[in-house]
Parts: sequence; structure tokens; C-alpha cells
Amino acid sequence: MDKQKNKLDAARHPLYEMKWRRAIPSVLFVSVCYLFLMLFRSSYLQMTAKLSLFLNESSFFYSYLQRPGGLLHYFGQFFSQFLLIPWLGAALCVLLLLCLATLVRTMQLFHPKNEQFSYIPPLLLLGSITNMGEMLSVNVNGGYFFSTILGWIFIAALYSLTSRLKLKSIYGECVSAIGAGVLLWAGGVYGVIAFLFLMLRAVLKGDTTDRIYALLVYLISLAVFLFAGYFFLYPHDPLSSIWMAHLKEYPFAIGKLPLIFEWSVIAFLALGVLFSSKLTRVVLPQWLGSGLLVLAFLAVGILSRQGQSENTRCRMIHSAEKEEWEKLLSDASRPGASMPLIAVALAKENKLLDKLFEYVQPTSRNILFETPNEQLSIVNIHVLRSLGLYYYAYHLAYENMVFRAPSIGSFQQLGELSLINNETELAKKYLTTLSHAWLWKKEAESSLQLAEHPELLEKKFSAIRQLQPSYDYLGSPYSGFESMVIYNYAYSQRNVISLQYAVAALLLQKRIQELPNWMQSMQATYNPSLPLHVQQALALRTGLDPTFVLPDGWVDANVNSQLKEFLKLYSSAKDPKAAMNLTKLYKQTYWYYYMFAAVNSGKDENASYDQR
Amino acid sequence: MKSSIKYILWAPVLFFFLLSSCEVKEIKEYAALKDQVKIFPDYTEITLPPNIAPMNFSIEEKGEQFQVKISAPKGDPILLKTSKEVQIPMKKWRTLLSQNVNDTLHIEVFVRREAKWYRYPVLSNFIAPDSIDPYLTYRLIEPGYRYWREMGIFQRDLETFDEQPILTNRLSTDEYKGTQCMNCHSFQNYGTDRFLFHLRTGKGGTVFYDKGTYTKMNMRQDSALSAAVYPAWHPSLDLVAFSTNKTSQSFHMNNPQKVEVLDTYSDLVLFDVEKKKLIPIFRTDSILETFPTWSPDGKWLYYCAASNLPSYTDKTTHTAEMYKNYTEVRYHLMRIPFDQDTHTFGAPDTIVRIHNTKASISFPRVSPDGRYVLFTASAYGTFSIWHKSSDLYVVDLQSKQMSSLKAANSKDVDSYHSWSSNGRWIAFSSRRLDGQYTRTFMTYFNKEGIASKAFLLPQKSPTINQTLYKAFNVPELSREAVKTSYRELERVAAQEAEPLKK
Repeated sequence: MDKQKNKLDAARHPLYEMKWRRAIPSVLFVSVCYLFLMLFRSSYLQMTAKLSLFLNESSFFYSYLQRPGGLLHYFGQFFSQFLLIPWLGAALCVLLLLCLATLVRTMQLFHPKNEQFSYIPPLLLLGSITNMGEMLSVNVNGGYFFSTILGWIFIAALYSLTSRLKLKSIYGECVSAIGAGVLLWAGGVYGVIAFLFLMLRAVLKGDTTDRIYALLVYLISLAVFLFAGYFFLYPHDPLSSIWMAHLKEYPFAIGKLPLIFEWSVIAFLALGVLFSSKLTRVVLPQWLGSGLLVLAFLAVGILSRQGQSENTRCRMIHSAEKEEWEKLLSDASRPGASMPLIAVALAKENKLLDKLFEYVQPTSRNILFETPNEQLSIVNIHVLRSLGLYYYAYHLAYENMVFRAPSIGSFQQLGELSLINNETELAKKYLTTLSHAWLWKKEAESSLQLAEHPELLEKKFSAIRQLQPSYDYLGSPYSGFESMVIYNYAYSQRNVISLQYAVAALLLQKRIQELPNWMQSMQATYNPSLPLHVQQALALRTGLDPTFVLPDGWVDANVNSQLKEFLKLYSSAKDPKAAMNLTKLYKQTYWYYYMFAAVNSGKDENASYDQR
Repeated sequence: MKSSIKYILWAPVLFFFLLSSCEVKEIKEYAALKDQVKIFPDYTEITLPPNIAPMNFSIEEKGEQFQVKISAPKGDPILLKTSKEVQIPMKKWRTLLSQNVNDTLHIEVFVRREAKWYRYPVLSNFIAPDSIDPYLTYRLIEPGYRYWREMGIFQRDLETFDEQPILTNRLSTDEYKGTQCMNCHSFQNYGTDRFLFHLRTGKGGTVFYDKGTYTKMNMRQDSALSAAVYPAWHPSLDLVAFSTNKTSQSFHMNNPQKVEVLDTYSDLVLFDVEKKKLIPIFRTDSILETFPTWSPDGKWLYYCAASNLPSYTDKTTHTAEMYKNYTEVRYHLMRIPFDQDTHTFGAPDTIVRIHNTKASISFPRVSPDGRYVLFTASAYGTFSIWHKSSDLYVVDLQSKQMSSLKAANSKDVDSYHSWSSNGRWIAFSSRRLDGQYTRTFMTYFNKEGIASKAFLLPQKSPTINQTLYKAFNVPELSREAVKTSYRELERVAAQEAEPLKK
């Protein structure tokens, strides 16, 4: 009874009530952020994990220590591995953001009653790290997702701790400067930001002499730490890389979204420091804090469309990896859907020549392959793999690893491609490294078993090895894709997928006059009737060139009559109503693409395939 | 107070007790195994230099405990209680090697399984009487095709494990963040007073170090095909022969060789370092000349040349024709006399004709005594560094006999090589471990012109060969350490290159 009474008393206590009420924003913040990550970014999180690398090895740790800012990136990589399990990664991310919010609160920039403000910086950071796009790992150190949050946690912790020092002012500033100096080595640009905040704080308090001394302390410390790094700790790094570590290889120009969000964090906190003496004394209206918080939420939500598209793309890549073609196609209508992956899924289900133009618009570009962004498209690796061009897929995967820095995903991909190519020693190298990553150990070890046992290897990959070209020739996995697939089928690779790609490439290049040359292969594969788009193209060929005689059985009568309707509407397309009808009825036909897509008919840029 | 004195008195006793308990006792009772122990790297039946760093290795056998005994006829054996990774103490190793030059070194591996010790058959290696040049310079770069990230030229002290960067692309000027590439480092006559390398992309150029002075030259000239490529310092004069090459890269669709690089045109030029002038040696469309190298007396310039070109008259179809017939392009080994007073060349002479070898020759290097030319022979073309058929050969300039370095070669690529200044050691690059990442191997070349089994460059931790995702390119031996300053080179790399003088 007594216990119950005590509990009730405690519950009635104003402090208890206050704590409980204070927990509401935290719970809300955690819930909204977690739901945001889980509902709109889960595939993106998994991709981030795959593009990071954390190895359970001392040499891996030392390699990070050897570079400025390395420690921060090491921890960033450590946390990034957990993003592979989205619920866990999201939970860690949200907890760290909450930790940052708590630390911002302890920075004493606002009145305790205005604690909503403390959630704004972590929220803006969330906007930054969830909008990095495919280039999110373009950094030799990787792990940006978490190292960004950790960098700010260190800044806030340093500021907060040194605010509470009971030392005499100048000694306090010395301790603060040393902390910022260490952070400079461990976190590069975050150390510089810490210096700026601490200096700002110092110049706002005390008398003029104190301020001058404090400024001198910080400036001297900054110089000492920078030059000590330059001469002793990192003798093979330029000075700029010490203070710019993290930022220097940040894969975005200043104007891009992730940096805009991070600049907003700096601006928000700087304003907080600047006006802290006033803000801590006055209670700002609750609606202002709540309003700003809602605005920040909206900014993250609305401005994050790029991240949302990237999430769709990542989900499609995961579906392709798991060969879940139907799931992949279910994402096809979302913003950010990858057309080349849709084409892979259609080809795998032998529907590429029946359905391709349901997805292609006359304005569509990069339909069968992504235009290589610096020739480093992850999607193109999957396309080349699906086509059985494993050496080319290896090339792209390798260049990806070199350009983006080694990652779990690259080791996994290169290990598997090496196994398919029967380069077992090479596969062992990648897979052994992969086995040092906690969450990948099991998978790597089972693949290593394959490398040790040729009979298992043969059993596992014999079917997909049959997709390989029958002989070798010199080409390029970096350009001229459409010519490549046409050439490929014509000379060395006879399977249904490569046939679909070759004919699709001809259709996309509007080379319908060449279609009859492919009919033997087509009819051998598609019996009794040809795929819809091929029929549409053949019918169109006759429609445009009456001298071409269409053999019986190539095109259904239904297709021919539809074409007549289409051509009738097309001839009166200047009439807006007719044009609208044309779009409505024939948007998903090859004819519509043929008539409205601006494509140079004929061969594409890499005609050299035909010469080789 | 009394008790603390007691502790102080007991401390040395405890220390010596601990020390004596750490002493490894030789295993006397064991069962002998018949199969040879698997170790990585394969340090068995090799000839090793007396000044080489400890040849640490990993035991690739199962066991609960391991013990290793390294012994030789003279001196104390080295007894090690070890994990699978065997780390040999530097001082003891050096003493043992120096005491047993021209003799055999034995390695015994003991393994404990289920409370019983087993001993594998003894591994024997021979300690050569000749030292290897103590420094090896190489480039560390991802063996990629179009991209690179962090890379640089490094120098390794072969007597220790010390590796120092000469220059890396971490210099990262604002404009070219970490993207500068460097290649083709070259020393004059195994010394380091004169040294050069190329910087590509960004503020590119060729960096010359000449006894304390640094120059960066723009080696492009309108009359030349390209900037200078493969270099060869004259052994005594201030001259460097270079090739200039029009090169293109292509990719195999279904071949583990993966990449193919062709020279569609190539010539040779001579660069006068003092006058900063480029003088043409060959300027021919019908013959591809490349890979220059000097004889040790400086009187001959050796090079490779391909004259059986599919088509060179029509420039519009030449590249396509070259690609069509790329397996037919093969290079002879040639030489041309050089007058050191007038700096003029005589008439070319063929040393090894391809129709005799059915192979294509690349990277010729004349031995320091002038008797042998060491080269890489592959099935075709110029890009032997990616050809699985690439092997090392020598031609004896006295007997004109050509022979393969059979014991040193492997089934995979064995390619770029350099001599030690005494002519007894060869360092070369090979992809034999995994087919992709080149590692440096070394082989002893005896007075009869026969090479021994090659061994992998010793590393402090042998697992680095597994975990390092970079290739060791262009291994060059030198008698002394480079004298360049990292920061000075960094400065030179960031500045604009000087134009050539006309």
C-alpha cells in the first residue's frame, strides 16, 4: 500500500510531471524520424551500408588513424555497417540524433522552456544525410552518413562540456582550444567549426582584454594543431587536408542539398551562440519553436525528393540483386525508377519486346543502359551481368571500387563476378576481406567454400555462365552500349536475353529497316507469334515503305488495323483533340515512340564495334 | 616502507623468472609428418640475398600451437613460439644470414594438435653470396583501367620493412583533388642522384631531380606523337631516351586478360636534360619503336620495334585495322649505336627477331655487365603487363642464345623487371598470386645465366599481400635511397611545367 501511495505522490509531483511532459517532444522526434527513415529511406539505408566498409581488423583501424579526420570516419564506418539492417540502422541514427539534440540543449543557447529549438539541428542533419544520392560514398574514407552526425555530436559535446568548466576564464579557454585541436585531427572540418563556435563564445563574454587573450589562445592553438599535424602526424598530407578532412572530398558542390542543410545547422547554432545571452533569459513563444520545428520537418520532407527518388532506385537495385523481377516492376511508375532496371526485369521475364514501350516515353533517354555518370553507374553493372557480359560487369564493378573507395558491396560484387569468371584466387582475395566484416562473414565464408570446390562452383554458376559470349573481341563496357548489344548478338552471344536487347536497341535507334535480317532468330525464339513491339515495327516498316512486302504470319491483322488508325490520327495530329487522342490511345506503342522520339536513326556513337 | 623495499628486492627476481619462462624450448618429442608444410609466401627451395629483411610467413595448416625453428650450419638457431603468422626477429635473422652466406638455411615448422607435437619436413633455402641492392622503388596503384584514387611512388628498404613515400597524389591541389597520377620513375645507373618520373593529368609534366635541383618539364612537342612515355637515363650523360606513343585502350569481352592497350604509332626521342631539348631518334609511321634502354657503357640504345603492321598508310582505318589484327602485332628486340661525343645514332641492328621467337618482346634491360638482355616475351603486342603469356627471358649477347627464366616464371603474368647493380638479382612484377594485383618477386641470376625460383618481397605481415588492394608497379632496384624531399616534390608537382626549348 505504502509503495503504491509513494508512486502516486511521486506522480503528482510537479517535477515528475515536468519530466514526463518534457519527454513528449523527444518521443515525437524519435517517432517521426524513425518512421521517416523506415518508410521513405530503408532501401537507401541498405545501399549506404553496402557502400561503406568496416573491417574487424587492427590494420583497418590504423589505416584510418593515419589520415587527418580518420577517427571520425572510422566511427562513421563502424555505425554505417548496421544500416544493412534498416530497423537497426535507423534506430541508431535516430538515437544519435536524439543525443545531438540533448547536447544542443546542454549548450545553453536557449531558455530551458524553448527546448524545441534543440531538435532543429539534428533534423536538418537528417535532411543532409538522407539526400546524398548515389554519390554518397564518393570519399576515400566513406561513412558520411554517421560521421556527419558524430562530427556535430563532438562539437556540441565540446562546447557543452567547456561551458561547464569551473576554471578561470583563460585556462578554460586553453582547455577548450586543446579539445578543438584534438577534434581537428580526429574530425577535420568539425574541429575548425568547433574552433569557430568557441571563439564566438569567447568574444561575447568577459572584458576586452579577456576577449583578446581568448582569441589569441584559439588562433595560436589552431595554428599549432594545424602545423603539428602537417609536420609530425600527417607528413604526407597537404595542409588543407588537415582542416578540410571530411569536407574536402565531400561529394557535393556548395549549392547542393546536403550542404545546404549542413550550412543551415551552422547558421542556426551560430545565431544561437551569438544571441545566447539574450535567448537564455527570455522564453520565446512556444509557437515559434514548434513552428520552426514543423518548418524544418517540412523542409526535410519536401526538399527530400531527390532522396526519395534515390530510395526508389536503391530498392530496384536490391530487387535486381535478389532477382525479384515482379517486385522491381512494381516500382516502375515511381519517381526515380530506373529504366535500365525495368528493361532487365522485362528481359528476364521475356517481355522486353512486348512491354518496353509501355514504360518508354519519346523524351526518355538512357533506356537500356544508364548514361554512365563518369562511367560509374551501379545499374549498368546489373545490366551487363544480366546480359552475361561478366568481364565487362567486372570492369565496371572494379572501377566503381577504385573511384568510390572499397566497400562491402564492391567486395561482394567483385568476389561473385570473379567466381563466375572462374578466377578463384582473385575471388578469394575479395571474399577473405569480406569475411572480416561482421555482418558479411557468413555469406563470405560460404562463397569461399565455392572457391575451394570447383565442382560446387560449376554447379552453382553453370547456368549463368552459358549466357557468356561464345568468343572474345575487343570493345568497351563504358560507351556505345546499344551498338554493343546489337553486335554482341550478331557475332558472339546467342541467347534470349541478348536477342531481346539487340532487337530493343534496333527499335530504339529506329533501325526498323534492318529488322527483316533478324527474323530468322526471332522466329526461332518466338513461335507462333512475334513480340508485340516487333510486330508494330514491322507493320510500320510496311506502312512507311510500301515496297517492302511483309511475309505472311509476321504481323497480326489486328496490329495492322491499329496502325491504320494510328496513322490516321497522326496525320491529323495538328488538331489538339486528335493529338490528345493519339497520346491517350497509342502512348504505349512503338509507333508513338517512333514518330515522336528525337533519335538519330542509324548507328550510335560507337560504330567501331562493326569495324572490329 | 619495509614492505615496499621487499617488493623492490623481489622485482628483479620476478623479472628474470618471467624472462626465463618466455624462453622458447626446442621441441624434442614429436611425430614426423611426410607432407610438406604449406606456408605463404612460398619460401621454399629459394635463393635469398644475405641482406634481405626477415622473410616472415604464414603457416597455412591447422593447429592449436605453432613453433618454428630457423637454423643454419653456423650460429644460434632462431626458435619461435608463434601464431600462424611467423614474425622473425630482425636482429637474430640478420646475424644468422651474415654467418651463413653461401650456405643453407633451414626452416622447421612444428604444430601441436590434440596435445601432441608434429614436425613437418624441413624447408631449405640457400643464402646467396651476393647482396641485393638495398632499395626498391615502386608505384602503388589500383590495377584499374580508367580510374585511380590514392596512389604514389614509394621506396622500400629491402633490409628492413621501412617503406617511405617519395610522392603520393595526396598533394591534392584545390583544382585536382587527389586525382594526379604519376608513373615511369627511373634512376640513372642504379644511383639516386638523378631521378625522374611523369605526372599525368592536372598540372602534368615530367619531374627531373638532378643532384638537389628539381625541374618539371612539359615534354609535349608538336612534332612528337605524345608527351614522353617510357624513359631510360643514359648511364653517364645528362640524356634520357624516351618513347612517344599514340596509345589506345580496349577491353576483352570474354577473356581474363581483361584489358588490351595498343600503340597505334610510336617513336623514340632523346632528351637533353641540360639543354632542355628534345631530339628525335626515330620518326616513322611504318615501324613502332618503343621501350628504350641503354647498354651499361652507354654506347648502344636497345629498344623494341614492330614492323609487321597491318596497315599504316591510311590513318583513317589504321586504328581499326590494328584492333582487328592486334594479335598479329609483335615486337623485335633491336639496338642502335650511339656516339657519346656527337650524340648521334648509327644504323639499327636486330638482336632477336620475332619470327624466331613467335613472341613479342617488351621491357628490354641490359645486365650491368653488358652480357645479357633481360626482357618480357608475350604472345603479341606491347601490353605484356596484362598478358597471361608474359614470361621473362634473357638473350646472351655473346652466344646470341635466348633462354627463359624457367624457375622464376609462372603461369600468370611475369613482366616488368629491373637488375640489381651487381647483376645477380632481378626484381620483377608478377600477377601470379591472384591474376590481378601485381606483387614484386625477386630471383637470383647466377653467373651461368640461370635464374632461381622467385620469391615474394618479404613484408612485415605477409597478409598485406592479401589485404592490399593496390598493385606494385615498375619495381626498380637502386643502390641508395632517394634523396628527394617529399614536400619539395609536392611543391614541384603543384607548379606549372616548363616548356621545352627549341
